[in-house]
This record gives sequence, C-alpha cells and structure tokens, in this order.
Amino acid sequence: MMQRLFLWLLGLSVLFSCVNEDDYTIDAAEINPTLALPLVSGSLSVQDLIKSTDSVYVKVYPDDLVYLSYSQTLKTQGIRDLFDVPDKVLNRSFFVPQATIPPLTKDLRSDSISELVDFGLSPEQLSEISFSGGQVTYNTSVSPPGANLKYEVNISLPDFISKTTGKPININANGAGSILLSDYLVKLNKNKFNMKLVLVFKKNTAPTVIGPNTFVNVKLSFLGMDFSYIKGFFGDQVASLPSDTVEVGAFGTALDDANVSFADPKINLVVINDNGVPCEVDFKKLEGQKNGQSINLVLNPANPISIAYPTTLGQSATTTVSVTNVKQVMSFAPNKFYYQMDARINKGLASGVNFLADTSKLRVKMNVEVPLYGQASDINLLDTLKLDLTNLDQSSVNNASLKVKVTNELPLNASIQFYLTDEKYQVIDSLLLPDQTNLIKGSTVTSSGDLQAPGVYDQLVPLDKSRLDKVFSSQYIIVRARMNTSTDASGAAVDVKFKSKYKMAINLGLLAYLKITAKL
Amino acid sequence: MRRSRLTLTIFCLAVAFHASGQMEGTLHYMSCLPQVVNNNPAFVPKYKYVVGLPISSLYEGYTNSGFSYNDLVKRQDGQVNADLTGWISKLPEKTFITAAAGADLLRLGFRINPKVYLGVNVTGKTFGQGFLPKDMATLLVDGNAPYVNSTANVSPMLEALSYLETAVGAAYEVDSKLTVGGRIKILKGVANITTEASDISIAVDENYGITASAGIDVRTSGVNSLTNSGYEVSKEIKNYMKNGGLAIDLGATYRLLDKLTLNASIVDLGSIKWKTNLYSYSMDRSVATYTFSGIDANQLVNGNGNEYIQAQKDSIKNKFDLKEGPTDAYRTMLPAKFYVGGNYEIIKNLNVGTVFFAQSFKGRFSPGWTTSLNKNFGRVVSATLSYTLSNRSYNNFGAGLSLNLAPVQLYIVGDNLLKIPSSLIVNQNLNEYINTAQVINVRFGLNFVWGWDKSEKGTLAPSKTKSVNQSPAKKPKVKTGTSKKDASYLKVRRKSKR
Repeated sequence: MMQRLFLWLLGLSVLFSCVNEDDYTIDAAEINPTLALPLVSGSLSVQDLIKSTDSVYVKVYPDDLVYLSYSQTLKTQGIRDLFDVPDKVLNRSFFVPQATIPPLTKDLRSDSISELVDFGLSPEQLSEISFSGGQVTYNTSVSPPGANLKYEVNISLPDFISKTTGKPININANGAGSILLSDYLVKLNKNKFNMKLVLVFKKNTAPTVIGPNTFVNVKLSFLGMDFSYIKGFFGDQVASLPSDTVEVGAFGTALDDANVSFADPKINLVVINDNGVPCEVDFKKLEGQKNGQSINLVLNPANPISIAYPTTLGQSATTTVSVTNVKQVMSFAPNKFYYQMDARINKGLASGVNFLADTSKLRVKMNVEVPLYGQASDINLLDTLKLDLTNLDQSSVNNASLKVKVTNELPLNASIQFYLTDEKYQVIDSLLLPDQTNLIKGSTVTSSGDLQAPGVYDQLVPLDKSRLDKVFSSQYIIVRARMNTSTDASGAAVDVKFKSKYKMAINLGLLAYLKITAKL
Repeated sequence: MRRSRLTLTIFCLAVAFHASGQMEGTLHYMSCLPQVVNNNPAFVPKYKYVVGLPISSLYEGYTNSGFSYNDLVKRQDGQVNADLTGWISKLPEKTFITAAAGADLLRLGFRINPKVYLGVNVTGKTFGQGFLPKDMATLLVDGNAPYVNSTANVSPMLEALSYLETAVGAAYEVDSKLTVGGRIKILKGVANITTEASDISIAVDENYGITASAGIDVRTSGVNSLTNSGYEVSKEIKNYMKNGGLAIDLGATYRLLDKLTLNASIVDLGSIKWKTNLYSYSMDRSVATYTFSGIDANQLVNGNGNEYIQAQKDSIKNKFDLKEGPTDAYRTMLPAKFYVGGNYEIIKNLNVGTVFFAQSFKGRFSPGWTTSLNKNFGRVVSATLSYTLSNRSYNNFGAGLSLNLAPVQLYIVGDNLLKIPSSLIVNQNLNEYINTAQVINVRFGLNFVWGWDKSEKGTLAPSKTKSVNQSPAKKPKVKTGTSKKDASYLKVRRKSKR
C-alpha cells in the first residue's frame, strides 16, 4: 500500500516538475501611460496680478473700477527748526560803599538794577515765548568773601508769567537757586524783556562794618530754553526741506517698454501748514522717474507756490496743488516720483504777526491715483524658474501637450512663451511654436470699456518633440508674457476698464505621453 | 417545451460564461469518492465504509476570472516580455483571483443501514480572494488620462481565512425517489483578513484636476501578532482556536425519471466570529478626500509656489492617515456554495451529469457550470471527463481518475486536468497548460474504503427499488456472463423497470 502511495505521489511530483521555468522569467516590461496632470489653476483678478507688495495701494471705486492710489507725506519741521532760543547769562553787581551800617530794625532796600534784556534773536522779532523747558538759575555772592553782610537780592522778571498762577517771577535770593521755566511764558518786545534786581540789607541788631571794594554779585542764567510756541515776526527766512520719493512700482518693470495711456489719472500735492506764517513752497525738483529717465510735473498754481497758513495757533491750513500734465506723466509710466523743495517764510516782509508751535509741521502729501482705465500695448512680464529634471529619463517622455483653458474677463490679451536656457541664461530654444503663443484671449468690451464677453481659450497645445527634448537639458525656463489691452472689433485700441469683479480663470494642465521600459 | 429548454440552456450558458467560481465541478459526480459529499451531503458514496487519514484528501485550487498568464506576456525573439497594454485590453471590469487549499485530517464514513449514511470529517481549509478592479490596472499601465471626465474605482479587496472544520453529517433516504442530507460543521478560525469596506477612487476632471478619495476598513485576526518579534504561533495556538463558528450543509437528490436524478445543495452556510488578536486598518473617506487642481495661481503669482506645494503635501499626509490598532470582535461568513444538477444514466455504469454551481462571498456571486461523463470500469477504475465553464474561462477540460484497489483508493480529480497530457505531448512540459489556465484545481489523495455498493446508492441517487433491503437469501440470482455483484445490480434495475 505504501508503495502504491509513494508511486502516486512520485507521479504527481514528476508531473508538476515538467515546467520550463524560463517561461516565467520576464525579461522586460514596457508601459505607455498617458498622464493628465494639473499644473496651475485658480482665478486671478487684476488685484492679484499687481505686485503683492503694492497690494495696499490697490483700491476700488464705488463703480468697481480698480485704481492704484499712492500717497506719500513728507512731514517736515524745517520751519520750526529755524527757531531756537539761545542761552542767556547775565552777571550783575551791586557796589556797597565802605561804611558801618548801624543796627537795622527792619529790612532796608539799598540799590536796584533795572534792565531790558535782549535774547539776541535775529532776524525774528518775537513777542511771546511759551516755554516747554529750560530754567533760570541764579547765584548771589559777596566779594570779597567773608564780609559779614546780611542781604538778599530781589530778582524780578515781570514779563515771565506763570501759566498756572498768572504771577510773574519775583524771588529773594541769597545764594544759589533755580526756577523751571516750563510753567512760564514770556512777553517780549522784539525779543526783549524787563529785569529788575534790588539789593536788600536784612534787619540786624548789630552794626555791620563794610570793608572797602565790597560788592554783592548776581549771576542770572537762562539755560536750555525750549518753547511750546512762539509768536512775533519770524523774519524773511528760507528753510531747506528734505527730499522724498513716492514709489509707484505696482507694475514692476512690466511697463518699461510699454505704450501706456491711462484715461483719467490724477496726481496732486496737498500742502498742510501748521505754521502761522506766510510761506512760499518752491519745488526745486518734482519729477517722475524711470530707469534714469525723468519727466517734470507741471503744477497749478505754478511753482513757487504761496501756501495758506493758519491764523490761529493749533490750526492748519491746506493748499492743494494739481499736476496739469498728469496724462503725459502717467503715460511715461514712471516707477517713482521724486520731489525736493524749499520753504520761504515772510518773503519780502519786514513785519507781521507770526506764530508756530514746537509741534508745527509742514506736510507735503503727494497723491497719485491711477484708475485702471486706459489702453496699453507691449506690456512685458518676465519670470525665471529653475528647472531640475535631472532625475527624469528624457526618453521616457514620448510626447506632451499643454492643456490650456483660460476664461478671461480681463480686457487683456497675452502671448506667452517659455524660453529654455542654459546655466548662463543663454536661450537654447523656446517651448512653443510661434503660432502657439497666444494663450490668453482678452475679453471684448463695450464702447465704455466695460466687459462685454469674456475671452475663452480652451485648447490642447501639442508640444514639438524636438523642443520638448530640450527641456531636459535646460537649467532655467524664462516665462515671458507680452500683453496688450483688448481692442475693438476693428482692431483699434480702445480704453478699457479693469474692474475688481473681472476674473481670469486659469486651468493649465499637462498631458504627457510616456514610455516606460524596465529591463528585469 | 423544447423552446423553453433551449432558452434555459442559453441562459445557463450565458451565466456560466461569466462565471468565476472556486469550486469543483468534476468531483460532483465521482460517486466512488467519499469526498463527493463535500458538494452535497445527500450524496451517498459507492463505498459503505470509509476511513481517511491526513493524506486522504489534499486540495489546491486557483482561479482567475480576469486573465491567464498568456494574457500577461508576449514572447518575441526568445524573450518573454510583459505585455501590460494587451493585458489591460483583455481585463474585465472586475477580476477576482482566488486561491484555496484544503486537507482532510480525518474522514470517516459508513452506512449504518440501507437508508442512512453517516460521515465525519475534520478538514483544514484556507481560502483567499483578491479583487483587482480593472481601473486600478488601467491607472498603473495607461495612466490617468483615460479617466478625464470620469472616475476610476480602484478599490482593491482582500479576503483570506483559514479555519479548521469538524463536520458531522448524514444522508437519509426518505423514499425511493428522495434522499436528503445535512451536515453540521463546528468551525475554529485560525486567521482572517477581511475587507469590510474599500472605497477608493480617483477622479479626473476636464482640466486634469485629480480628486482622490479613500475609505478603507480592513480587519484582521491572528495576523498582527505574527509581525511581533519573539512571537511563537505554537505557544499561542490556544488563542487561535478561540475563534468559533458554525456552518451547515443541506442537500437533496431526487429521482425524477427512471434514469434521471436531480440534485441540489447548499454548502458552507455559516460564519466565524473572530475574537482573538484583532487588529484593524482604516481610513475615513469623509476625511481622506483631496483634490489637486494644480498650483494655485494666486500663490504662484505671489511667488509662494514652493510653500504652497509643501502645504499641500502636509495636507495630503494628514488626510490620508491610515489608522491602525486593536479592534472589536467581528464575524465573517464562509464562502457559501450552491449546486444544482442532474445526472442521467446513458447505459449501465456510464452517466452524464451536469451541475450549475455558484459561490456567494462578500457580495460576489460567482456561478459556473460543469458537464461530465462518468464511467465506472468495473470496480477498479472509475473515470470522469468533464467540461467546465468558470471564471470567464471556457477551455477547462477536466478529468477524474480513481483506482479502487480496496481497501486503498487512490484518486485525482480536477476541472482542468485534461490539458495536462496534451501539453506534455506537444511541448514536453506543462507550460502551455499553466499559461492558458484560469482555473486550476486538483484534489488527490488516498482513502481506505470497503464495501462497494452495487446498488444505485452509489450513483448518488436513491435506489430504484427496495431490493437493497432484502436479505441475502432473497437476492436475485447472478446471471451467467457477468460478475456476481454486477449481475445482481443489473437485475435489480431490470426488476424495477417492470
């Protein structure tokens, strides 16, 4: 029985050993998959296309028209900085004749000095200073030292009035002391104030012997004075103000070689003056600049411009200056505006009532408002991308096509080309054939420049095999878009509007025909 | 009547052409084998007494409803190259690949009286089924472009179960026409992998935007611990046997006409509850859904392309996070099988039988059809030739051979064995057979058998008369020119005809 079983199993094993294993050794495998890969998708508005760093300048009018609003304010205290109250030091002495002073039952006013003190300002002639800082220091002494004289000096500054009590400075000094000026204002007469010093012998039960050449000395110092406002006539002076620049880089370099015409751009200058003094602003330079070139802005009123000034301290006066050649300037497509100016006060005047506070500024605000309404051609956008296809087998890509679907509500046509370059950015070839580059079709517009119908491009763009092969040996790919605004039915350029609701829906995909062979 | 038969025949053939089962059609009418009761518990084998030891029956089966090896390769200039494009073109929408194995550890069968046949078996079984959606293969080979504006369903499924079956069954002859049978099976699950849910899809829109979604719920028992270092199955065998289950087989045969017997059965109707060493892998489809439509144009315009791609990578990683961990007990059904057939006695010891069968498992209903010619050459040799439609495969010529050298019975049977000799003759190897086969199954072994039943019980049908109950003294006399036992069998038949 076991013999039979053995033979049975042996027969089976012999049977199943009759297999040629070579038949199950697969030498190679090849597949030809076609991959449909999404590359880019999304919906872009004109706001998205403008450089993100400038997005804060993108605004929308109530009618949905997008505009660029640039505003730069030059804040200068150039006029206020014209004024400074210098330190003033006064040394005065009382001569006390040689004698014996009998006992005094009460204080005895001996001598006095009255004087009109000049702060020494020029050309301004101030009538009032309200101090925000500084001090008056005083020091009295007797010479020669050791004289046994009991005295006081009464220091009276009647023009220095306390802002809290309304009382003038009036102190009796014997030795050193100081008074903070931040609580005082001084009434001046063309920079001058009154001062009176009175020497007082103090009551004494004993007689006082005064030696020869005896003096009572008074040193009075006005130091570190700063003002919260000044009033008076400030003189005919010129303040040089710092220069400033307004960057208008929303389009980057895209408009460098473009022909641009904005339908309704606006540029104005607003001068806000806190200084209560007649002032004339002289724009030494006011120009739009681009790549070393410039264009002057023509102002109305013409330069130099007398600006308004406030009649009450704490108020401001505004002067608006417009640019008369704004369309010309914007067609130049500057990427920045530069201005530099002087401010001249009291031009030709010999008197007047001026004022300013220590916080008073001259603000020159430049507003550039560019509604995206107009026409343009030859707008260029360039971007460079690094390619790294070293891990891909070139032979595995048989062919490829770009799937492009763009539904464009923006009135902007674009021709796009992909340039393949070596590591030195030398162009090897372009990816698309010349007749394949018009990938973005602008919308059609009404006579008023509004959207009529979106432009639709929906095609599979076959890529030339020889050009495609060069992708694998390229180091960089430069994407260049050349754009024009939509034209009318006859092909003539028309002013078009870019509204915020207009979108460009982009779907870009790649259809790649691969051939993958594996030797096993 | 003839038209309705024709219609029925065409329908059955049509169903069978698309069939993809994992079953044994050729075995069905090999009445000399005690294993025939596997297909129908009402079948009564030829031998009254059977003892099967661990080698009594070994079964291996493989089916592939989608392709054969030849569909996968192309031979050119002495080289064998994978022809994946050709393979895809031939694939059906759903390809099921199954593998099954079984081995009797013990089999006992004995007829306790003329009406009752009892059987006991202990059998180890393993079944595995993988589902390959055509879309998955297409994606790998042809890419995703064919799915622009459509969705590829790439939900694979894997089922595997291994269990020990202890079965007690009986066939009972109700009357001269009807025999019924049943079997109760006590199941002990060893290991299981089941895909409770698999819903993975990749959709491509007209602009090539790709949406991937994945919902997965795979549960396992007795598998995860195998990956633990130091884990020894032998020490944990007790745990493996804690997965209990129950199943039943039901069957009947009915002699419709004198020579025509019908049969029907349901086999492996039951389930196993998996309780030990449970581990699951899941992904929530409501979370694991991601659409990539390309780099966002706004991000690109703002020069944030690289950051955007990195953010998308992180998002994908978070969304498609495969959760894994211990899970609760679960229950899986066995692959239930259904057989309906008929057997016609052409002449003595020569029958033609046909059986439609189907397997239902995890939502897959896979039918098939076998027709066989069965011949007993005396008691020593029983042979069967068959033709089977199964798994979209129509070149399955099967055979069965039993050498009844009582008490030893050696046998082999399979649904696609007949091509083996032709392959050997023509090519001196089995390659042609293997390369073209989508159905390969073979059962072979050695039984110990006694008591060849010369009545029709061994034809899987009730006896035509009650002669088998007669005492030996009343047995019909042997007719000259035939062996004693065969002549007796023949006479009984003749009597019944009268």
